[in-house]
Amino acid sequence: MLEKDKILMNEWVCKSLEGDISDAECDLLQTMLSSGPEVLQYYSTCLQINRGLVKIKPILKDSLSMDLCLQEMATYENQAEVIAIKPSRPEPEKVTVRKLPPQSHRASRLSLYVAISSTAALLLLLLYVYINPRPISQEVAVLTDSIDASWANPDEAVKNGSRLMTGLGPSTLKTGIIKLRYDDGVQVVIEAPAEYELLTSTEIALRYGKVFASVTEAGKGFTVSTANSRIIDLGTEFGVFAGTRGDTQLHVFKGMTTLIAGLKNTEKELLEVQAGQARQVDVYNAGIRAIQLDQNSFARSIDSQTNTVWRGETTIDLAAALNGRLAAVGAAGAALLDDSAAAVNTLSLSQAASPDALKSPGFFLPIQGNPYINGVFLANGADGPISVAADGSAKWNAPVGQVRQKIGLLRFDISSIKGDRTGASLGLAIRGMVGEGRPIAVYGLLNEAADNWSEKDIHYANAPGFRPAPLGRYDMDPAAWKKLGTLAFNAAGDLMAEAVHLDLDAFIAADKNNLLTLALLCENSDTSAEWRITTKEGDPSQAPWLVFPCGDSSDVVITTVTDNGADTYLSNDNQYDTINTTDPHGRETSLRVRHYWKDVIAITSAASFEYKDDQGQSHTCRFRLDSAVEPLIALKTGAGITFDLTQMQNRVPENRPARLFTAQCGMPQGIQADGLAGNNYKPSIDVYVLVDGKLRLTRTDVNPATRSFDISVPLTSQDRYLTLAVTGASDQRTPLDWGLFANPRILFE
Amino acid sequence: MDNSDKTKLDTPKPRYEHFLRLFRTNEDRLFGFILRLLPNFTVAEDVMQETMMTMWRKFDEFKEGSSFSAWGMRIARFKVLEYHHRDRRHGMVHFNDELLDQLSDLDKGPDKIENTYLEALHGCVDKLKDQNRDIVKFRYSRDMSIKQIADELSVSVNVIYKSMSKIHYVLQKCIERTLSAWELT
Repeated sequence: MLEKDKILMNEWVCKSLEGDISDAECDLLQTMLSSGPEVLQYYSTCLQINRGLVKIKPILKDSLSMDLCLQEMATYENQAEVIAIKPSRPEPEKVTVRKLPPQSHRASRLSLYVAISSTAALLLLLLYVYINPRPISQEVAVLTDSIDASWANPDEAVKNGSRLMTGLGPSTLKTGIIKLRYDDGVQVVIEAPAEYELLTSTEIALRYGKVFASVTEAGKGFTVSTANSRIIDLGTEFGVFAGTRGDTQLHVFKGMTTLIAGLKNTEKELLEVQAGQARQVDVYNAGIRAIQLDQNSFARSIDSQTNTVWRGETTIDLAAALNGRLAAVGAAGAALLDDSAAAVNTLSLSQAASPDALKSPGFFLPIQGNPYINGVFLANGADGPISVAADGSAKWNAPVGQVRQKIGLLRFDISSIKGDRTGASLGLAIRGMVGEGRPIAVYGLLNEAADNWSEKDIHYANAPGFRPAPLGRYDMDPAAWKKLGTLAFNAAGDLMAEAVHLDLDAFIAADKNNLLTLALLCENSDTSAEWRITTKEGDPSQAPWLVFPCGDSSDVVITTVTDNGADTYLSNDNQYDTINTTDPHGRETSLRVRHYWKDVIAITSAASFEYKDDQGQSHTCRFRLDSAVEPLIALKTGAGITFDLTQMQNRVPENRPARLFTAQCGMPQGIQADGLAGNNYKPSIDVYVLVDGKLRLTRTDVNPATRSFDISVPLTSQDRYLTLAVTGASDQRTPLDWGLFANPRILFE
Repeated sequence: MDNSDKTKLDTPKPRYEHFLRLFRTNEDRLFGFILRLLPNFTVAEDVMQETMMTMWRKFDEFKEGSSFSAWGMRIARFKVLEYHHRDRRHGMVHFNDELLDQLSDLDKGPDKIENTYLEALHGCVDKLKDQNRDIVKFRYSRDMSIKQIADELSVSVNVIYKSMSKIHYVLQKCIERTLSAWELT
C-alpha cells in the first residue's frame, strides 16, 4: 500500500468510528478493502491503533499547551494541503482552476453556489438540483435505441421507445449499449457494464460504467454525477467514465463543462474543462489531474438497424472500403463495419462487361453490391473524356495512353489456279518481333464485292466489314467476315515461318471472283510483342503466300505479288501519339498484327502480387511503401477507381460530411525490373486524384526510386465522387507499374 | 485455540460467574471482531452488548472445552448481520457481504490488544511532536469528540481528521519499529 493510501485508510476508519464518514467515502473504503488481503490487514491495524489509544487513555498525561495547539491548527488551516482541496498539477493555460476558499467548509455549498453562479447564471438551476432531494418519480426520458442490451434485474429491462422514470433507484446494464433521449433533447449513450440512475430531468448518476452525453441548447446544464464528481454541461459533448473503484474520468469532445470534484460533505474543487481536454478525479481524495483525451473510447451513437456503434471515429479506411467494408480507423473493436458488400479486386473488363459496353469509349464498370465503390474504369483518354462515375455526371480528360490495334490485310489473286483448289496452306515470313507473340486469328472476307480494295487507300475507317470502334479495339461485321482458323507460332524472336496449315477449303470453294481477302488479327488484348510479317514491298520473295497442292501436279504458289495481290495493315490506334485510324499503310515493308488496349483493370488491397520475368521465373512484388506495411490500395497503371463519398457519409453517424482525403503515395519499393519486359523497361507511373471528375492532384513520373509522398485533398459537403487513377507508363510493357495509395483515408467532420 | 479459551471448572461456581469469567477473558477479542465488521464505536458497543446477551441466553449450548471466542464470534457475526438488516446508520461503513466474509476470516491477531503493544504505543505517543501529541491528548485524554475539538479550535472537522490520520500513521510505524526492536532484544 502507498503511504497516502494508508493515511486515507486511517482517516476513513477514524471517521467511521466517530460516525462521520460520508457515503462516498464508505464506498471508497470498501473499494480499497476489496483490493487485497494486505489492505484488509492494514485496516485491522488502523482499528487497533484507535482501540489502543482508547485503552491507554488513563496513562496519557494531560499536559496540553493550548497555545501551541491552536497555532498548529491555524497552520494547518492556512496551508490547507491536507484539506480536500488539492491543487491540481500545472495545466495548460486554457484551464481555469478556481478553488473555494478554505474557510468555506462550514458553508461549502453556499460558497460553491456563489462561486458558480457568478460564472454562469444557468448553473443556479443545477445547484438547486444539487441541494434538493430527488423529486418524486416522473418520466423524463425515452429509450431511443439499444444494441444487445441486458439488465442485471429483468424488471429493469426496457424496450426501445419506452419512457424512463426517475426515482426508481439504480439500474445495472449488464451487456450492450443503450441510447436515451431526455425530454429536453439531451442524448445519452450508456455502455455496459454500467450502473446508472436517472435522478432528475436534468441529471443522471453513474455509479460505474461509461456515459456519453450530447447536450442541446435546451439541455444546457445537464449533469452527470459520480461518487466523487459532478459534471455540469454547458452545451457540449462529453464522456464520463466511472470506475468500480470510484475514480472518475471526464473527456470533453465539444464545448465546455464544469467539473466539480470532491467527496460528499467535503470541500469541492471547481474546474472548467474544455473541448479536447480530459481530467481524472482520484478515487481516494478526489484530486483532479489531466489525462490524455480518449477520442474513441465512448460509444457516441448507435444504430441497431445497421448494428453500428460510432465511437467518434472521423476517419474511414478506403482500403477496407475496397472490400466492401467501411472501417473506422483508430478504434479497437472497429465500429462501422459492414461486411455484406462485394469486393473489388483484379477485374478484367472484357470479362466483366457486356460486349456492347466494350465497344463504347470511356468504359466504366459499376461495382455491384459495394456501396462505397461507384465503379472502376480504364484510365485512358484515347477516346476522349471518360466517365469516372456510373451516372455519367463526372467525366475526365484522362491522358492519352498508348493503345495498339493493327490488323493485317492480305489479298491473293488465285485466277491462275484453274484446277483443284483444295488443300491450300498459308505461309507468312515473320520479319521481326521482340518477346512472345500471340496467336493470330485468320478471317476471310465474305463480301466479294469488297475484295477489290486499294492497298494505297485502305485504312481502318473504310476497310470492308470493319465498323467504328474505340481506339485499340475493333469491331468486325460478322456478316462480312468469317473466321477461318487460328495460326499459332511456337517460337519467339526472329523467325521465318514455314507454311502454316489452315483449312481454307470451304472459303476458297465459295469464292467466285478469284480474289481472296484475309484479315490477320489478335483477338485478345495483350501487351506481348507485335507480329511483323514481310510484305511484298519488304521482300517480294518472302511476301505472304498460299500453296496449292493442285492434285498430282506440282505445287502452285500464289503470293501477294501475284497478279492483283495486296498486303497491308489497318490501324485503329494512337501509335506515336497520332490518331491514325485513317492512315493507310500500303508502303510498309512489313505488315503488323497486334492488339493492345489493356483490358485488365487491376485494383487490389492485397499485400503483394505474383509475376513472372522474361525467363518465366516467378517473383513476388510486395505492395509497400518504404518500410511501413499499411492498409493500401494498389492500382495497376491504366486503372481508375471511384469512391462514393455520399454513400460513406450516409453510414457515418450524424451524417457528417467528408472533409479531407489523405494517403501516402508511391510505387512499390525495392522492386527489381531487370530481366523484365526487355532491357529498356523502366517502371514509372503517373498518379491522379479527382473529385467529381475534376483533377485535384497530379504527380508524374513516379518510379521506384521516388520517395513516397503525402497526398492531401480537401473535400466539401458538395463533393460526391472521389477518383483515384494511375496511368502514364511510357512503355506499354508494364509488369510492375503499380501505384500504391497507403493509408488511404477519408476524414469526416 | 489458546489457553484463555479453555474452560476450567475447578470448583462449582454460579453459572453466570463462569460465563462472565469466560466473557471477560475474551471480551477484547470479541469487541475487536465486531469493530472490524462494524467500524463505529457506538454501534460496535451496542452490538457487543447484544452479542453478550445472546451468548448468555445460549450459554447452555456452549460446549465446554471448545473455543469460547470462536463461539462468541459466530454469534457476534450473526448479530452484525442482524444489525445490517435492521439498521443502516448514516456516517458509518456498511460492508457488503463479500467484505464481511473476508473480514470475518481475517487473521485474528490484531483483535486482542497485547500489553506490549500498548506499552509501545504509549512510548510512541510520547515521541510525537508536541503539536501532534497535543491533538492525541485532546481526543483521548480529555475525551473530546472530533467535532468538539474542531469547534473548540474553530477549524474544520476535516482538518482534525486529516491530522489525526497522519498521526495514526506515524504511530503505527513507530509501534512497528519499537516492537521489532524489542523482539530482537
